Amino acid sequence: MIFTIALQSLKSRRGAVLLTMLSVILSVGLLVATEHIRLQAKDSFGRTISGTDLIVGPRTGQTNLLLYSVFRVGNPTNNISWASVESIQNYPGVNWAVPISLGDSHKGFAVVGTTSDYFRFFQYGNKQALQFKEGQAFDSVFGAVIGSDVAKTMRYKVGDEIVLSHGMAEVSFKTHQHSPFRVTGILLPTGTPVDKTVHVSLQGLEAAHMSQHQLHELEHDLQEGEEITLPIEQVTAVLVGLDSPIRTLQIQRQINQSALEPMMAILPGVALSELWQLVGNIENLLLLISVMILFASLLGLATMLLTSIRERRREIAVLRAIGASPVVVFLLIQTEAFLISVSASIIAVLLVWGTLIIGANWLSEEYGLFVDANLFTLGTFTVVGLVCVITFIIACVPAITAYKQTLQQGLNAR
Amino acid sequence: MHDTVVNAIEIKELEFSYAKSGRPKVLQVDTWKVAKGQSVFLSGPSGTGKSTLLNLIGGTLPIHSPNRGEIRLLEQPFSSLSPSKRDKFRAKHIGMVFQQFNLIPYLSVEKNIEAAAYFGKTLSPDTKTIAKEYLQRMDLADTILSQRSDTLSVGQQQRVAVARALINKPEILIVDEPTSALDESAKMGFMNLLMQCVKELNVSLVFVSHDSRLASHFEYSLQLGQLNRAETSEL
Repeated sequence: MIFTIALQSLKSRRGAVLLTMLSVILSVGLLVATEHIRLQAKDSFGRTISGTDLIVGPRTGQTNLLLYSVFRVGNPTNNISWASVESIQNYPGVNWAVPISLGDSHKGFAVVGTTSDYFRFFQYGNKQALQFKEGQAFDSVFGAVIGSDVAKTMRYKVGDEIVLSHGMAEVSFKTHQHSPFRVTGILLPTGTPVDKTVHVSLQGLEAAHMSQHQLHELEHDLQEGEEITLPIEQVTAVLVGLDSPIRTLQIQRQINQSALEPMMAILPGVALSELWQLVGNIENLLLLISVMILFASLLGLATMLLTSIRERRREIAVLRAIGASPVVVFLLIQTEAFLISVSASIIAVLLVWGTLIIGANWLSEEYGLFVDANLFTLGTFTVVGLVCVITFIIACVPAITAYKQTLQQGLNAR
Repeated sequence: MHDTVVNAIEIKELEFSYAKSGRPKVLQVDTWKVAKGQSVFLSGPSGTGKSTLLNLIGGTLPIHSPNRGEIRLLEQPFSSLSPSKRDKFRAKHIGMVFQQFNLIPYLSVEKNIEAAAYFGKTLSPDTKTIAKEYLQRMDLADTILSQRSDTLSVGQQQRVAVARALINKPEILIVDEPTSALDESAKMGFMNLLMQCVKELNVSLVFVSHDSRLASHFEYSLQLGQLNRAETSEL
């Protein structure tokens, strides 16, 4: 009966109630979305690289090295020599070392020059290896393997020709149009920056930067069936896998102290965690702002109920006359508050859920965020639970006011 | 237990003031009794404590220090009951009708009556049938049950309020100026229906009004001034 009365009471004041609900929907939606995206971003972030024990590059900040070598964000400030790559490959305890070379792009997608070992050793998520959706790794100088997003966005298929551009801009004035690459494979989605990457061989990348004359000679040699070995002088970074993680720190120290050239080796896990701390603080700030907005909108709910108490003196007097105790009046106000906040929370969760389903692609394409649309997690239920607790506490103000009013004024509500 | 009850209302040495100290008394009643099934007409100028007396009998105002005295209803101590027990007693044994605004405006007539039955703990599948019966007694059609209360005329609202006040078969009915918003013909119609209903159900009625012409409907008529020895105004 209390529920029926509360529901009908809210319906009778639908204008104010709907506005209040809208405010709670927006604030709960904001909080749920912030919390969900924060957790998903953290998860997505941690999944980016796995099974790589060290990343070696020229001396720079470890966050910078991680950003450009793994996230394709920013530009490398320097390179390391091929001699250093070979020396790393020969370190005792090094199982594999895959060089990568950055700096070019294709229609805004990063181009990574590497070796075919990349497809054997690079892992993401929970030590998951890269898998081909179509085709295979490149086996020629001008072969290219593209990530799933590149294929999807550009509608490329195996056999298509692509032209690289110099630099990372989406529109480039300098293209390597005389050295087109042919797509030999398309990778399955990984939820990492790999999906947005065009992988070519180091030699292909070297060839793309040759003069037109040198290219003609190379193409001629290729047509003749000659085995081509272009000298690689520099690479941007090296991904290193070790036999045993026990030796990680020792090898890191050796690389950092290398006499060949100044280099630094970073532990991806440590660098990721350091980077997340930077990003995480902003996320925490966003979360705090969302909680404050929620608090403000629930205060608005309490204010709406409190102002309605004065208008409802007669109604409350009638309830008392037919036997409702002051506790019932208290519960009635609390039920109204709960009806608003719980229904607003449900609508907010459904709206965010729908938005994530619709916007997941956009988030991954624009921001590289791979957000799972499944909102029905412990985190979401925690937020809704938090809303209920705050609602109860805040709604105590109008509920106690109504309770006291019933005790003080009896049935003299005119 | 109520078959042996002689007095529906019994007041002894009642003193009441709204403030805890320093304010004049609103009510000072040495003794007053209303017999079971008796209908009493209570009149008096504004501010003489009529509504306060009804609130005290209805148990919606507590008698606390420095107030004193005792109110017994159905020969049971009532004023000394805890607030929650008073609420339960009121829901079960007392029906109340006010001057106006008797119904919860956003609820249907049916839900208004059901709410009274719910708080009186008499809500059952038969409630609707009983409600229809009382509405018929008050000369209202069944179809009114589904209507929202605030869509009814004042006269209809007052009659629904009586039907609702009787749904728990109370022994005491307290009515506070229910005809003041009604025109003459509606007033007489309402009084006839009310008195007939009260007689048939053997309910004790305390009826407050300024309109002394209505006194003829009652067995017993009283000016509150005759009862209340407090000299100051309620307001």
